[in-house]
Amino acid sequence: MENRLRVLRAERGWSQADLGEQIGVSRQAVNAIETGKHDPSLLLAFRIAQVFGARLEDIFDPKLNSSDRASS
Amino acid sequence: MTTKTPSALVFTILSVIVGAVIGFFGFSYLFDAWESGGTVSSSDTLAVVLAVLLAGQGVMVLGLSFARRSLGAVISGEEQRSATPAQVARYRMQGAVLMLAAVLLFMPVDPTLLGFIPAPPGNTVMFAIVALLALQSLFNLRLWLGSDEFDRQMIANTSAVSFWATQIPIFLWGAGERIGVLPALGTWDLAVAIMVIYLMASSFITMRHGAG
Repeated sequence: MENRLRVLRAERGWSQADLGEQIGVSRQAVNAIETGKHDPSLLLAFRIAQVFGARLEDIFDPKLNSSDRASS
Repeated sequence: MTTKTPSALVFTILSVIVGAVIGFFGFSYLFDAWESGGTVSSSDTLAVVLAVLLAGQGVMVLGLSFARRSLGAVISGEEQRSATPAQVARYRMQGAVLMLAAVLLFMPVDPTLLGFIPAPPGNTVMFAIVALLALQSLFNLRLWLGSDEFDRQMIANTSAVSFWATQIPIFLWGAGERIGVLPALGTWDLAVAIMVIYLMASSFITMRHGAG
């Protein structure tokens, strides 16, 4: 799943550790989310959205293909 | 008021010295045993090597926990950020888990712990192993409870990988043993093999997720 975490974080001048502190995870976890190696849980995704004051879909893009979109 | 912590250089030097001492004692034990008639089995050799590696890693982690600024730099990736007391406590517990794992692997091979204690009776050794294992399990449980979802995901992935990587060779070996084309393994052999596979899986998963 792709996301705009790195961009949003950079816009606010936060380090990965800064963001990690605010959402209650380690710097390594933030790095793994940014690089697409870890998909956050729904709860963590909402926490991230809350910290940035944005909607989930403004931050995360699940890259659904056309058949997924049609069936949803 | 500023808190003084040992520098990264001091920490590195101390870790190398202690690691070298642990390695020296561990491998001296193996060489002595081989020279005195080769009474050390492959499983015991592997257990001692693992114990040395785990003890070395434990010393590194414990040493790092006493250098708050260096630990903070490792955790946050930022030089100026010291580790929090909670992070220090967590690293000390991780170090203790590693050291206990080393002792637990070494104790069945040499209950005198390289001659530092007189040879105890088997029941006493077993009691000590159960007690240390209970303590290590308690520390592991506390580490799990204090983990974030990323750490838990890595532990779950490690468990899944090591399950498959363990089940397949053990089944094949068991089949070969039953057919009579492979020698019988003991529970100790399997315990050491499972530990090796688990540690390899853990390293693989950690590298793959870019953590550590």
